[in-house]
Order: sequence, then structure tokens, then C-alpha cells
Amino acid sequence: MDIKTNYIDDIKIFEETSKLIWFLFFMVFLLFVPLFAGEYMVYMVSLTAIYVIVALGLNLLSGYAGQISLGHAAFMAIGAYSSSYLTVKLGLPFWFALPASGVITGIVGILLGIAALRLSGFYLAIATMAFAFIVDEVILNWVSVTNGANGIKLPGPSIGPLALKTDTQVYYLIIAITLIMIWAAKNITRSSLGRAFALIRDSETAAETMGVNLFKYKTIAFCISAFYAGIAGSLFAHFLKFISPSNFSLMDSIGFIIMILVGGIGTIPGSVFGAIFITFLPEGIRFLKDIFPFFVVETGLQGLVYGLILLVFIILEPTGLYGRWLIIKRYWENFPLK
Amino acid sequence: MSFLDIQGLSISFGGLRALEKVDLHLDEGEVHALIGPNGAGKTSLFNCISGVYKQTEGRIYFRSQEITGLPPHKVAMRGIARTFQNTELSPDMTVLDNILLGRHIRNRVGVFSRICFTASTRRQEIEDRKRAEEIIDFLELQAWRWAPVANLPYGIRKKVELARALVMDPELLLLDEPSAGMNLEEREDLIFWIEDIKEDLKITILLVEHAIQMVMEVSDRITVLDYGKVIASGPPQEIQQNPKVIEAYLGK
Repeated sequence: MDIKTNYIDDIKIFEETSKLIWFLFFMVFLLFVPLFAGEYMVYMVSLTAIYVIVALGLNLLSGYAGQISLGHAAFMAIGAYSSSYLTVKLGLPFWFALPASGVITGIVGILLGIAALRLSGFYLAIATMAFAFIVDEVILNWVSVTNGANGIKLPGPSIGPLALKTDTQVYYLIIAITLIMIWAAKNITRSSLGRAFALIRDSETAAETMGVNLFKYKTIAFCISAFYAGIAGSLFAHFLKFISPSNFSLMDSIGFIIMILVGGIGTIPGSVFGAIFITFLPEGIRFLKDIFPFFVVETGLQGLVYGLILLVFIILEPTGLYGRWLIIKRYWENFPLK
Repeated sequence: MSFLDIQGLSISFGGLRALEKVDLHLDEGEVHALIGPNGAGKTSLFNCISGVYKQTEGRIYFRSQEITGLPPHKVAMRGIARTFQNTELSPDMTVLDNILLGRHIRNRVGVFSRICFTASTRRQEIEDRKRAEEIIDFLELQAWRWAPVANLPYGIRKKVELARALVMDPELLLLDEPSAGMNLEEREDLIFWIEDIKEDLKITILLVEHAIQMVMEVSDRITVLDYGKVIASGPPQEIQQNPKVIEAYLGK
């Protein structure tokens, strides 16, 4: 048990030493992944890290500020295509295109936020879904920028003159950026910004009478969330080196919601856990297939397992994997006491 | 002009006149109680002052400045805090975090600075925490500091809401039935706290309350509403004797 002696201890990133130790352990693991794991594993972890960024953004918007979004794949698409336009068509360097696509997506997020200001619940879900359809149509038809349904080829990421050639180098870049995004998300949630978001979620009337400008803060929430998706989209594009509209479907948006629900809604580690779980789920299913080839044969199994997992979590574990982790941790901390 | 000046305030919902030409004047430093039977328009009046409802007619002045029609967050910025009849807290957040929410209007740090958690954000957080701890001591909430609000008894939640309003460092505090859901002991404490808020924190209080005993004990002046109209206003002893008030409460 840590003993706190001043108020700074309560607003540290790692309030408990045990959290710091887990984090460092995880970092060392990530550092050595390319050394012991195969190319495919490096690819999977990179992809997971990109999804962690989207899940973080969605969790800030939905988990904290209480505004649901079925349009996060579209935000990701905007980030990806902005980045492709900036690098391929305008020939700008990657280190500029990455934050720029985040900002462009953030601005689109502000516009959507303003448009959806008075909506909540079902209506907001439908509105954001409609937004995603519009983005999809624009991508398909704005051929001069997006190359329509044929998709677009991109260069790999580079930092200044240094082009990141191998997948391992790109892997480290993605991990570094993901860490920055986690750090920023943690800052939001431990500052008054996160508290304002939470009060908007729980009681708009109370938030207003506490002096929270609903218009401003909801728009900020949309902007930040879209920025996250935009950064992820840009990384995604340069990581795969090819994007097409099919990468950003409604199913992907739903997948992001499943990530935060399964991982733990309204928590930072929940976004990470959820992204890992959902990205590696198909691997798990494939693994099961190898062991029990007679029981697991259908190719459509993935969707079924998705649905089943979502149901189980919503009914039995609404706090998600992170909530379960906390319960287990508390149990062992207090062991053998109850 | 007095501290809070409400002139000819009316509000209707469809055909229902919830408030009709209400005049109310508050002096700085007083505890003013608003009483009346259910549906008399007490909470509607609160909602008009704090900007949640838009009145149909009338004007509200706070410290000689008009606040009629201001959105709620701007009214809060002027230094008017309120609590709710049924508590409006964040159930999953701890008592401390809920109380810290009240510091929102005192925040001077920009959004970007908070995202990066700069030194100024850190200072702001510490400053807010100190104020929150002072109020936690004041209302004796130490034992509940880290408890999620959802797990707390109703009486404690009412206290948390009061604490959240107090950390705003308001000049005017609107309390909507603060004693509802409190047990006898908590009610007695509440009487002392209201006196302390008035004496030590120098906050003017407008209070809606059903517990008449308490109202008589704590308030300097009482205004009685019935069917959206002011039927009497004055010091407690006078109100107690007023035939109109007795009629409204007990019937003829």
C-alpha cells in the first residue's frame, strides 16, 4: 500500500506503484516483441496499437462525455485520406501529414459536434451513422482525391530524411505515438476536462449550473475524439500502404464500440484491453479451429463470436475486462481477507 | 437595488401559470426561505434564477446586473450556485471528484494546457483540491472522500451536493430542499451548517424547504408562495401569524 503525503500523489499518472510496475513490464514486453515474435505478430501488435488510439478517442467521447458515435470508422477514413492526399498528391512529409490529418479530422469532428449538439442517445447514434454514410459516398465519388473504390497507394512513414523501411521500425513509431495518445487521454481524464465530460454524461442540467458550457465542452469532446481517430487513420494508411473505402465500414465503427464495451467503458486501460481483445479475437478463433477442427468449421463463426461476447459482457460484466481486472486485483491485495 | 431582485416574474407551461408576477428581494447576507404547498412554483422560481427555465415575463437582477435569460453556465459564472431537489451527481465518480466539479468556474487553465497537464494545470488542480478539502472538513465528509456516490445513503449525497455548490465560492446559494432524505441528526447538523455558511463563508442563501421547524430556526425572512403567487413575505414570527399562510397550509 502506498502512503500519500501530498495532493500531487493523487493526480500522478500512476497513482499506485503497482500500476507503474505493470506498465513498465508491459513496455519491456512491447520493446522486445519484434525480437522474439514473427513478422505477423509485429503486424498484429501494430494494428492493435492503431485501434487502441481509436478506442481511446471513442472512449473519451462515449465513455466519458456520454455521446455515442457510430461514425468513428468515418473519422478514421478522413484521417487516412487526408494523410494520403497530403503525402501523395502534395508531396508533404509524413511528420507533417500525421498531425495535420489529426487536425483536419478534428475540425470535421467540431462540425459534426455542432450539428449534433441537441441530439443524444438513439438520435445521436443515427446522426453519426448518417455522417459515416455521407463520408463513405464522398470517398467513393471524389475520385480525384481518393481514387474512389479502387483505393490509393501510399508511401511508408518517414521521419525527416529517415524513411522507416522495415515493419519493425514502423512498429516502434506506432507504439511511440500510441503512448503519447494514451498519455494525453490520461491527462484529460485526471484534469477538470475529464470531470466536466463526466458530468455532461451524467446530468446536463447539473453540468450547466456548475458553469460548464455545454456547447463548448461537447464540441471539444467531439473534436478530441475525431482527432484521435484521424491520427489513427493516418497511421493506418501509412502502415498498410494501401487504403480503400472497404477499410472503413460501419462494421468497423461497431467494432470500436464493442472494443470499449468489452474493455471497460469510461476507463483508459479499458480502451487498451478492448482493442487487444477484439483485434486478437480472430486469432483466437483460428487457434480454436486448429485444436477442434470438428467443432469449429464454419467461416462465419467470427461474427457469431463477436455477438456472443458482446452479449455476455453487457449482461454479466458491464464494467468490462478492466473492471474484472480491478476486482481480481483487489481480491489478491486483501487476500486472505475478503 | 437589493442583492437579488426579482421583478414581476411569470412563467407558464402551456396553460398552466406556474409563477405569476412574483416579486422577491434578497438582501446580502441573509437566509431567505421560500415555502409553500407542493406545486406552488418554488422550484420553478429556482430554475428561472439559475437560467434552466426561460421566464415568460419579468426581470431578474443580481448585484444590480440583469441576469434575465442568461444561459445557466453564465449565471453560475456570476457567482450563483445551486443544489437540486433530487440530487444531480455523477454516480460512478468519487465524492471528491464530484466536489471538484464545483471548481469548474474557478478554472483558469486552457484546454490544451489541460491535455498536456502542464505545470499551470497541476497548480490549478492542487489549488482546487485544497479548497475541496476545506469544504470536506467543513461538512465532515472525510470518511466518504473516496467512495463512489452511487454507494452512498441519500443524506450523504445531499451533503456532497451542498459541498459541490460551496466549492464554487458562490455569493448566492440556492438550496432546493436540502433536508429532504436526511435523518434527524443530519437535519440538526444542517441547521448549524446553514448558519456557518452565512456567518463564516458570507454566502447569501435562498432556501426552499418543507421542514417548517427548520425554516423557522434558520431563516431571517420567509416568502410564501401559493399557486405561483407570493401571498406573504416577512420575518418568521410574522409569517407564523399570517392568516393567509395558515389558510394555504391548513385550509379554511
